[in-house]
Amino acid sequence: MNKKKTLAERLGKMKSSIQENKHLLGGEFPDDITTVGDPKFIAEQNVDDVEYKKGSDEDE
Amino acid sequence: MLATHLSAERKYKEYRAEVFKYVKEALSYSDSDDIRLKDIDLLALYQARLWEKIPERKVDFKWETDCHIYRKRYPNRFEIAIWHQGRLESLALGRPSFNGTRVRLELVERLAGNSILKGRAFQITELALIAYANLIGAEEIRIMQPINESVKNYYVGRGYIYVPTTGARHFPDYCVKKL
Repeated sequence: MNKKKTLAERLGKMKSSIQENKHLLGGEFPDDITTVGDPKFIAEQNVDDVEYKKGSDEDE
Repeated sequence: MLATHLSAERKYKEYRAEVFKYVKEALSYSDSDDIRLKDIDLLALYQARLWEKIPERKVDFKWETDCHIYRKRYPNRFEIAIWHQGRLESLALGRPSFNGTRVRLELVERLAGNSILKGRAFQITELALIAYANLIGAEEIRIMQPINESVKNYYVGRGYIYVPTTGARHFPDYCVKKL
């Protein structure tokens, strides 16, 4: 996390980001889509702990 | 569970609650009053179990069990359950990178079949993700594995950059945006 900003500053940024990005709620996301992302990526972490830690996203 | 882990769980739960409160206030749909934003709690997991019986459902993922380790491992995770009039409409999971400069959205699933929110579930999730990333001080968000060209184009049209997979097992494609 960014330690340079205080919680109050980050809270302010969070609130302003919502106002600045409210327009995102008005777009046309494809109605036929029910999933974004690959469930296997999360599910495999239940059984593949060691391999996951090797790869992960930490981070290019 | 260690005390530090418990403390982190509590802290980020409070962060998400703040995000949900302000995102909810920003909703301006005619049915906004019917929409509730919450953590993935036991009731959400119970309702998600019913999704497994929906014939139109395209994924084989058990929210109750398949993300158990993930949620336990990342107390600072992003998660959201979107409800409409007492019916679970959507679930999403993501997490910050190790140093907290990025937040990645790993999975969003909305109710298959007759969902009242449809695309709106993804838009509300995106706004909550942006808000959460800002609250924890991250500088970038990533939407992992956009499922097809139409989704990819949707996010690219909103200022994201598409990054193809490297081909390595744990480095899938994603759409990225600076905050």
